[in-house]
Amino acid sequence: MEMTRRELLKKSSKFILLTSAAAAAWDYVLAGNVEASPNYDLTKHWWAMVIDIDKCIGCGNCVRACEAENDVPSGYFRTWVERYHIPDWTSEHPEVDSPNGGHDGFPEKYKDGGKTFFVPKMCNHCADSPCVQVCPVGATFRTPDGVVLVDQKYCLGCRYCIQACPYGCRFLNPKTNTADKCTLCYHRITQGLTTACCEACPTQARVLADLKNPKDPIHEFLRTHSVQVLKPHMATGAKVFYKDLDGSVR
Amino acid sequence: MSCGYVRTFPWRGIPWFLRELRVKGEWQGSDLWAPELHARAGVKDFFRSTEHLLRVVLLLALGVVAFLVIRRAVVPADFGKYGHFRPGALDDIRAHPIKFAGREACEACHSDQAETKSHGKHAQVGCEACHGPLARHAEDPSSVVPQLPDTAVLCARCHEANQAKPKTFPQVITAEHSGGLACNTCHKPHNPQLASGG
Amino acid sequence: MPGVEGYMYPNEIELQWSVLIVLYPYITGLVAGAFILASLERVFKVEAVKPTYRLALLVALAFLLVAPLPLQLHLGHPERSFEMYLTPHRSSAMAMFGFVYLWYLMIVLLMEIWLDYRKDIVEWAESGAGFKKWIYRILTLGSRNVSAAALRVDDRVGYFITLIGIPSAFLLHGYVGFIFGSVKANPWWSTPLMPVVFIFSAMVSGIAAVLLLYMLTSKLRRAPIDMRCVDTIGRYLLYTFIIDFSLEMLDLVHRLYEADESLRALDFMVHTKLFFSQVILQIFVGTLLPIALLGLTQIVKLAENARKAIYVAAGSVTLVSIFAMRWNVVIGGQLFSKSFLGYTSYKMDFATREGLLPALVLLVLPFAILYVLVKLLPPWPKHEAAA
Repeated sequence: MEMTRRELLKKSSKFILLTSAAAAAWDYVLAGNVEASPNYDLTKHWWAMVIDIDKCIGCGNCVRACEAENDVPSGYFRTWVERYHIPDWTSEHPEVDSPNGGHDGFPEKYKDGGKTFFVPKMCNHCADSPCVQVCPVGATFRTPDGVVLVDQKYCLGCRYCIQACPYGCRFLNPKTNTADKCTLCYHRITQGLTTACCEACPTQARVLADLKNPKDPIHEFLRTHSVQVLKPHMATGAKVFYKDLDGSVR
Repeated sequence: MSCGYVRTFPWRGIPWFLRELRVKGEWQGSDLWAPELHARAGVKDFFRSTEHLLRVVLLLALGVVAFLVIRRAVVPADFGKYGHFRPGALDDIRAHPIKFAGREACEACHSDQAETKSHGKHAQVGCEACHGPLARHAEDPSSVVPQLPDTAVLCARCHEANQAKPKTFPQVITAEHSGGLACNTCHKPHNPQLASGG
Repeated sequence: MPGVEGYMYPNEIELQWSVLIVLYPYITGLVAGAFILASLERVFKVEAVKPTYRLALLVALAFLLVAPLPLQLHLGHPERSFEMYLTPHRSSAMAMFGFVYLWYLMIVLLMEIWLDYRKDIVEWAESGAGFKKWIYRILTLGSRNVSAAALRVDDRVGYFITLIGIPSAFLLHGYVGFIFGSVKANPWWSTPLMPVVFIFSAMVSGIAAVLLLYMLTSKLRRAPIDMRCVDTIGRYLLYTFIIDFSLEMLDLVHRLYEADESLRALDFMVHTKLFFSQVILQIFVGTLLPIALLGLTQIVKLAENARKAIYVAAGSVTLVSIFAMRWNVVIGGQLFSKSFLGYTSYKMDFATREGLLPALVLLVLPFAILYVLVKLLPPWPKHEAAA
């Protein structure tokens, strides 16, 4: 094909420009919608939870409320309640039970006067989450406002995150075949509501907190009470703070 | 590459498993191009003996290009904006329907019950903690008529005596306490204290 | 709760990783091990094992082709597995899988096999008949250049590929060890020794597999077994086994000595739930017995038939033992609670997606593929090509 240098230059520059323009247009099409609710600013929140062991009565309201709010499949738990029993100082380890995750309360089992208490458990929304670290594709992630979530449309169901969680809070949802766990009711808290479990708790044993909000009562609470997180030696940056958590709690 | 360079390069210092690769001696008389088989070593001969490898390289290059095109097409452009994830996931999660309206929504219409409750021991207990999730009722009151919970089952969930419950929490052995009567026979759920202070 | 003793977190009761995830490291281990045996000849100039060079490469390829299948069967959404190529999460060892696999399959294994066989492929393309002729023609990639210069280039490039293939093989299997070893939540898995133990046990299984297949295929072809070759392979199997056993014992002794919070629970598990698979099958029958048998051949001068019997016995037991090792790591790591207060059991179904049946099929499939490969690219010297 005969072509002068000028013609070649013209054709190739046209080609390059059009291709880049097409690429930019394609990008725009693919970018999709900007996140809805523009009045929720991701950078202005850092979510946490406070659980007061002295107030938990093991009623199971939180487990049932979470199930109702989030369509949690039966037999799997986004949150659950454990009962600890330490008969006396000679016990090598506590006796722990969680009948159906505490969903229907706890039948009376102990009458020996030993140390007995309830411990609600949930995803700790760790700041340095090991589950986020191991996800091979970025289907589980921590948002800028401190909530660890799972992208149900992206998750492969490889279950690596479930293995990596030290707290046992993840499971494979048999309906979606993806990993699933507590979302801190992200759909509620970004609209100014509290989580379903906190809403349902009759004794305020569970209270949602926003560490970036200077008016949040958690700041005074942390200043005046002794708090612990689960498995602190794992250095996960867990953000569920327990007040009066006994040393025997696993 | 001059002959002098080849000669002075410290081939003796290279590890034993790489010595195989070194070019022995002069450029023209190198092991690689077997001088007995070629009149002279040159670029053309080099390509003739390696063109099958170039085909492989071309195949691989095509594969890489195809991969990049697919990647461009499939991965959302804003992936990675907030971290290694798809920002659209936040929208998906926030679109989940709300089932519990929250006590503020209830109090908007049921202010009298809210007033009664605020004076009693159940002040901190949310409405839906006993009445169940009622966001649909809050949105359209006539569409869902809430069922009143059965106190015989409901109250025991919290107030049945259990060693694990905090000692300060009011709890009774219901069988002995009421002799089979329903709890709301004596206690009004919104303000459960009895007139005599029981 | 059925199958649960003590207390397990509610979401822990069901095992997440099934027998398919036991199978995957077993298969990639065989790939890595077979390749290392092949590299013994090419890079380390161990002339004695040359008769098994091409066979070892084909064995590695047959198993490598099957390797992604247990993973695909296991995934909740196998159709999304391509995401690992599109948006790999760089902090995840698992994200490496797609790239390491492709690299090893294409650049290392296929290239090495192609370069080694190219002269024969061109010959068969020209002289063959029918359907096979077209396969060979495609395999030549359109180039019929088999001049001495081109073959010399092939040899040099092939050598270089084998050279980088060795660390690539270690990476292909070692990253699986890292996947387990880096999980701080699980004390049965979490140890820096895990990738090293995986690699050495992989080498043991790969060498044993090639040894057995060489002896079997020679028998089927009614060809004489090169005793110098199998004696050398047997020696390398012994050395590698000793290193592997030492590493595993080091891990055990270290755990027992440090006695951290997990020891009681893990010790109880090994003595009860894993007693047969670990103590009996993996350690005594699976490691000490083959080491004793192979050691015997080094100490006492035995007749040829006695040595052959020992290699067959030791090799077969080794293959079972390394599978047991993978089982003990993967399944064992999920049998105890992270609260250290309880144990669950693994219920393996038969004909479900992650059951025993697909696992057996996937174990047999590489041999079927190997059969096709051996027919297509015979690894025997021409004068021996019989059956």
